[in-house]
Amino acid sequence: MTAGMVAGTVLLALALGAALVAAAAWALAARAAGRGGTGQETGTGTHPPPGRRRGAGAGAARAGTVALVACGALVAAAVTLLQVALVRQDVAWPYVERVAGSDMPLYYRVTAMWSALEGSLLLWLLALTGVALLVLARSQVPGRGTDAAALGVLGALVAVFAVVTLVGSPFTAGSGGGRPSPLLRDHVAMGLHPPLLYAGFAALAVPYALSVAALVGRRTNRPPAASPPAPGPPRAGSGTALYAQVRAWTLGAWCALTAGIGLGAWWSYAVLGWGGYWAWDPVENASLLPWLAATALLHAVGPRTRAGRWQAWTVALAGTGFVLVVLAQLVTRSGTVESVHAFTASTLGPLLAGVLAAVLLPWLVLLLRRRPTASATRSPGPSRWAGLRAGALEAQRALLVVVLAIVAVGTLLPTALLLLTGERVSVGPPWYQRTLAPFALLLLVLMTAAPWLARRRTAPPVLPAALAAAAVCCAVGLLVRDPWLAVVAGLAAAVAVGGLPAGRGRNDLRTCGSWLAHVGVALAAVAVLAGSHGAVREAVLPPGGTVAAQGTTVTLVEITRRQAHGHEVAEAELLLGRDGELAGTVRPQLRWYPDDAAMLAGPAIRTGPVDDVYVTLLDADPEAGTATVRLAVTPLTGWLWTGGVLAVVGGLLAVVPLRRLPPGRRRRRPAEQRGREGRPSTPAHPASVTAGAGRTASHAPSPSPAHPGRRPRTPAPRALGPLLATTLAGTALAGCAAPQDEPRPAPPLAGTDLDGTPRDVADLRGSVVLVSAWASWCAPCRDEMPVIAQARDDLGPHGLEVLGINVRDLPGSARDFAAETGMDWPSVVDLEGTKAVGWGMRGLPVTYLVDRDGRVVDQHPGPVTEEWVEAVVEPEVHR
Amino acid sequence: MLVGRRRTVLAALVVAMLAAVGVVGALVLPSPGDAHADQVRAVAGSLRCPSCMGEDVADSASPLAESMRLVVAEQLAAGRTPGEVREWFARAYGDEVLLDPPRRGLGWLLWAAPLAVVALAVPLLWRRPGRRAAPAAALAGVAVLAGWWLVTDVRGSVGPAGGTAAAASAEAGSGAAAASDGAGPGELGALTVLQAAVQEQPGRTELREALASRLEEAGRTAEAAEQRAAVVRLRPLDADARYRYAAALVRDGSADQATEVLEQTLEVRTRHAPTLALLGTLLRDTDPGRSAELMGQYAQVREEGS
Repeated sequence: MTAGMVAGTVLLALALGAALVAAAAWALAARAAGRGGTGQETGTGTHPPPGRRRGAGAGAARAGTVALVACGALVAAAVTLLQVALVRQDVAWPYVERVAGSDMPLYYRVTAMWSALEGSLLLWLLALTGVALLVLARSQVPGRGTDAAALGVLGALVAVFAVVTLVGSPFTAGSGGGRPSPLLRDHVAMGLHPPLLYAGFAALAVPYALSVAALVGRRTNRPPAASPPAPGPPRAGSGTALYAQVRAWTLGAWCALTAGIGLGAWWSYAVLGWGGYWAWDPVENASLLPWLAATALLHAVGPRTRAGRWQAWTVALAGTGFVLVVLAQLVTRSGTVESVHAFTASTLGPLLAGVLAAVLLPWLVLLLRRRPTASATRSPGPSRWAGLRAGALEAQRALLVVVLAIVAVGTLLPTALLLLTGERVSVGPPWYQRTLAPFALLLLVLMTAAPWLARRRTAPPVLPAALAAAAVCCAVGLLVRDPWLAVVAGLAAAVAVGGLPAGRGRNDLRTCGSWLAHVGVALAAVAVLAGSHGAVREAVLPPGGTVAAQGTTVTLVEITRRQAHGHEVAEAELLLGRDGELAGTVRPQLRWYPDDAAMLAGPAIRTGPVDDVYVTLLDADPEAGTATVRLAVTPLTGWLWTGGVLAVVGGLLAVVPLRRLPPGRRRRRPAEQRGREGRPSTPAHPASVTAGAGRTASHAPSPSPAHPGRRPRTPAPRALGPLLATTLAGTALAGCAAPQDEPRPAPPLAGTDLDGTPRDVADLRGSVVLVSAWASWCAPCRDEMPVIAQARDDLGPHGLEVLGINVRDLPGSARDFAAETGMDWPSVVDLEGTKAVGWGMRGLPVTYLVDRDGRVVDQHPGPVTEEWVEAVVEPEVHR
Repeated sequence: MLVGRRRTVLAALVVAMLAAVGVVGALVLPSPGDAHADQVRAVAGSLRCPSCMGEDVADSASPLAESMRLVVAEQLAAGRTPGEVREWFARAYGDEVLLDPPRRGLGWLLWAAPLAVVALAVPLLWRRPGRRAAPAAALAGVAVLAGWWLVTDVRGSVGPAGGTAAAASAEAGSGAAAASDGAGPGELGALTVLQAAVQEQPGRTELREALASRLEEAGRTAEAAEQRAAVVRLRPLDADARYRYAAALVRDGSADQATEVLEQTLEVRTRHAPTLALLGTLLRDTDPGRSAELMGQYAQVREEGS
């Protein structure tokens, strides 16, 4: 271990200590502030607790501030140390050698820090610490109750993740473990994607901390508005500082998360070469879950969408967001869920599971014991619409939570089933699309109604939006003949026209931001649906050969090969033709990285306003001059990225006004709020359906005497529990058919052998047959030839026959291979591999055992071993 | 002149009619129908590639996935429905090859789970309906979701099956292979594109070679020979280009010109194997002695090479 590595570890340990001190100090300060009086958190800060407690509180607050700043400085120093080592390519460090080995440009050396597990943990710690420092800087009066408690929680989180980082530290990491894929050194976007995501995740820690602080301090109540709010724009400062802070941080997190997820999807599309942007991969879904929670939270706490039991929703969703972030870390880093993105399986799994429990359980306990009161804010406007409006807003939050739950089920249930029963179930894009489609449609409808659901000065007129929707629906339906696309396009037009902001002023900036974000989402929805109208064609092309799809053609001109640093490139030059006119040249590439034995495809994309032309080079043979080319023409893909950008811009616009708010505005209405300190009396269930934890609703009816206006809680829908249980049991019984253990009849295998004689496995009925799949390009197949030959010699007289399948091979090479290895049994030639697919072949070599009645009784992947022959083949022959 | 309420009603009627025309028109008008290749892609997209991580058979570039795509294309062309093709793969590879789990075994849980989520969520989260309506709301939500799935299942199985039959008959009629969408209009388009490219960059021999190959495929041998002649003019020392020119002339029927070109090539490069072979073949009838000599040289060159 070099001095630098020791220094780094020491820095991390010190940072852990500082975080612990900060957490303890802020907890003390919060307690002192809490004991000092009521009505603290309304933002006045002008009534500090009296006397000695004030001294203790302020002292603790100072200690906490110093400790937190020290922690931040220590973590920053550790990061700087690692970066310096990376930039200087200090290969004495195993981590640096693993991650930044060869000659990489400076940008990639810097971003290589987070291309492997340990460095990304350090980056995450930096993000959390940065967020904690930001909260410290923004809190106006240190020592104020909620802020102190929140800072204590944040300090504790930093401490917990400092422990995780110490266990998986880049300073003590060995040089084992895989090298990061060359994909991560290929493109500029990979340097931006993790920091954006981590910034968003870390920002979600603040609503969690505020939620815990509010529950601890029982300060979740905003008194019901006794009278309709004064006419005029809703003041940005109205509401308690707690909810304003939650809103600001959630909006920031939402912008960062949308940008990060959008960038990841764009990178997946533009760089990876498989032509899609969202694979519903478990790691991708794990980053989507916090985004969904943040969206629901935004619509619960945003001042214009407050209705129904929004305080309960806010507190619940704020905590859920960060819990899902920790869950995402667990899924990505522990390797228990199979995914292309997951880092190598590491010992961090149990530790991260422990962290998840530590983050989830205390908050859950607090939530259940100190639930926020259910004070329904009376909405403004004629009461006929008020109930409808509140219902629609509640429905929107409920829908987002349902979507969240379904994505969580799809991500986690297959892994759970695999661990419990050992059976694999695949859940892929078709399942997600089918299951989420109705909810997405409902959400889109509600989003269209947003201008009338949000509290505004004047509701915009309905007619232009409705007319635009109907006109676009009509046009699209008649032109494209896809009813769903017509409906969604109509809704998108309504979103664009209906929400057009009018007038100027600060709150109209917010309205503009929300409109832009909604338009972005609507455009993305249209793009997703339109994408299914594309066409994909693939062909092997000689020079001059063409692939055509929907009037677009690409014609191969030539293939060139060259060396770039660290890899070889095969590039195909293709002429692009649109409707018979030359539209340019595209140059897709295939890159071979010999150090990593990885072949990457670099697609060529032409983006247009109407569609995208996506050309991939799947295979290139420069000697023969042929190339396998895939051409995909997808309509409206560009709208997807435009929509994402619009959404982020809209979110940023909505954040900006809050910061310019002078402090004085927040302190309005102190009298109203101080007198109505709510006590948790009758419970109201915060509606959070965290992954997998469903609870039946049961609460006793007891009206609270302090608030006579409230209706008694409804008795539990008692039927629900048994209903659910019987549904699940019924489906389980009906569906869980016993796994089929009976052997299936052998698939057909008929064709000519290497000498041209017709062969068929059905002719061998009555003998036990070993069907052995091989090819001359398969090295392990050589090893199994002697074993099979021996088995054939020993058991042949007892009725064993051997028939081979020669899969995807050239006849000349196959004959040479057979001669070399002494193969003297016939083999059916399967040039394209289609016969082998019928036998369920996944790779070579594989051998199947067929009994005398023509049924497949066993299958042995890999080269045949003598043990298998003794244990399985002999008994079958002698039966 | 229409006052208040009537105007609203009229506007609502106009809007409703427009929307209805759009949706009903989309449902009723004949859609272009899926091409065979699109159906193959759709079915392949619902199968997981067994030898790759996280890719489906339609997108994966692995050889196993290619073979699986060929099998899917064969079976669809033979008239099976997408459901039957998926079942066949499930029997060969196990249920885990299906990206949308079937309604048997543990797959039931994945069908039941969304229903359970809706059944739990509706009464828990959406308190508006009031006290007694909660179980009814839950049942309604579950019924709506299950109904949606049934409807989309039915539509999905009807559409492609009809399309398959039509496509299969069309293919059988033309006798073309499955992946020949490039034939016909695509071909003409490609020729025009290549010609335009050659006009833009007349000095690039690769473009002319590609155009010549294309013209030969289309049967326009005279134009192909012209293009190859241009390549030879641009690259006088390239023996392979001269050989291809001579071959194009032979295809066009001008064997004498071809012979001249080949003789010139031999002056440029005496031991160019393809030239020797072609010239030997051409001269077999007119100059057998020379022909035998050339073939002898050709055999020598090949032996030296291997």
